[in-house]
Amino acid sequence: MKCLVSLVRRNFVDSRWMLGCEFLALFGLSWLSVVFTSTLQERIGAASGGFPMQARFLRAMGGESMDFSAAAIEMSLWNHPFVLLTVALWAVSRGSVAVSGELEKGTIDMILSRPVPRPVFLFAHVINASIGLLLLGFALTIGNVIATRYIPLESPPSFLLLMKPALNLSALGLMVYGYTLAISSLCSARWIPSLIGSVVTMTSYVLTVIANLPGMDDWKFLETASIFKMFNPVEIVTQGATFAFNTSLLFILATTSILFALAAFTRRDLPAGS
Amino acid sequence: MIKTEALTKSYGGTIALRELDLEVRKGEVFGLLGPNGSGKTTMIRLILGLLRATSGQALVVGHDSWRDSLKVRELVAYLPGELRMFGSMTGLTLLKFLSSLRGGIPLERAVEIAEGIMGLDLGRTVRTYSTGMKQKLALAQIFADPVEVVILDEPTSALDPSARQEVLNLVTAARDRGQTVILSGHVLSEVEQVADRVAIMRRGRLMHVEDMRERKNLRIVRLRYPGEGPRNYPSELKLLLREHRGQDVLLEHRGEVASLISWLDSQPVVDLTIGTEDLRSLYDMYHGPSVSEEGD
Repeated sequence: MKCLVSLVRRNFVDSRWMLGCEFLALFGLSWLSVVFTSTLQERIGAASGGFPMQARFLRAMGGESMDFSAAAIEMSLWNHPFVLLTVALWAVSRGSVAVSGELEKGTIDMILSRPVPRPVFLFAHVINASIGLLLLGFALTIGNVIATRYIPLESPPSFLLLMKPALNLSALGLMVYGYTLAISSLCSARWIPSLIGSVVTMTSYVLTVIANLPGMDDWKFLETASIFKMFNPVEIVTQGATFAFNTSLLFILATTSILFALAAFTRRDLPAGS
Repeated sequence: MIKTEALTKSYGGTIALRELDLEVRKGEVFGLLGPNGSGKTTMIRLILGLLRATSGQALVVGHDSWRDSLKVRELVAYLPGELRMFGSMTGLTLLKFLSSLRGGIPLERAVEIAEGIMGLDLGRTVRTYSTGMKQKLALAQIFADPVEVVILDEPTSALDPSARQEVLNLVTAARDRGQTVILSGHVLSEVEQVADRVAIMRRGRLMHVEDMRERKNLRIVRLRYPGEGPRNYPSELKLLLREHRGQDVLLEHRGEVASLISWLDSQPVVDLTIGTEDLRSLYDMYHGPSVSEEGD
């Protein structure tokens, strides 16, 4: 237990700058989403002349799914590529450093020549990455909650409601981390899992973008091959039907990848000077 | 203490270690010599369970190095040849970290070696240490570890001469405490100074194991006869013919001096030289410029 705590602490010391910068970036963006929502609500109010009937008319024009609630507008920004990129960056970075990065740096020798079980070494990395992902989700949530104290919104979302898409985003990040870690556990050079993890994540995102482009209805099936299909923050805060299933599925897939990584790592050679 | 049985490691078609049979005894300093690529580091990593043997096995105090790797690493402290550390930690933090990975062993001994013997400032971050200072820091922790076996892979490679001597003193002190030390290195004089036995490796094969205590009794006798020198010598004298070139004969002797002298007195030699031989000569028999690369 003592060595697990030491390893987790060491991983956080190693990753503190990256985690700190990403936390601040997401915190700031979340604050910005409140500013954006407030502005948009003002404009919608002005366009509808302040009459509820006009607002209902506008919504009717956009179909049933059109939602002008503060939560829905804010969540549309949580789907911004910047948010996804920030989370993916953390996940790919920590996944690739876990085994192949430590092998490449040679620091794994210092640790595993001492009586540290390989699963504990890997678990310490998983804990670091998972807590980091939860913190990034928390940065979005807390940024939003604090911002609404200073910027007036019509019916701002509650902290608990915001936690749902934050958890969903963390689970998405864990999925990216999982497959990057699985590749990392097989390699001795960090660039390989970094490259593969990035390419898989970007490809997945591009598939989602193509599938949702206006006039590309025939390509909608592409989204089924994308992990980003399982992250829909607007739906989570407005209807909430996909939250439990998507988050659970992402978590199960990520856990499966991590278990694969564990199996590969405990069986593999750890050569010198990789 | 450590035993390998037909230990073999191959990577694809490349055999890094071939059927190594070796036994390291408790409480001895065992030198490991050989050029780069001879299989020394592979052997060490197999012993630690960092690599999995292709065939054969390595045992440390009866524990299989791969299957019971954790127990083995409880018994062994290891200094890697290519040392990489965590630059953001201070020297003291790193020692604390390494001690916590061994279940929180006391720090006093490591601090005493690092500050007292190695002269390190443990308040500085490791990033600001020179390569030699990093090596000293790692050595301080390793010699403080309460283990039965210490494995040092080129421990003096980055050290200045006085620090090298300190490390050799620590090796000797470890042996005096009853620890077994495996010392892999390229500096023959250092290995010769502290090792009880030395293994010479070449291209993944164990070529020779020399007992250094016996070697201290080794005499090299060069004789020149008036005609062709004899090819057979009295077995009771423990003479070994190493080279025969017409009149000149080169013999190894490990027996008693008195019997050798009385035998020499009976020989019709025209010239005679008796000397010793350092480890370099033995090493050159396997890695010297005259050694053929064929047949490996």
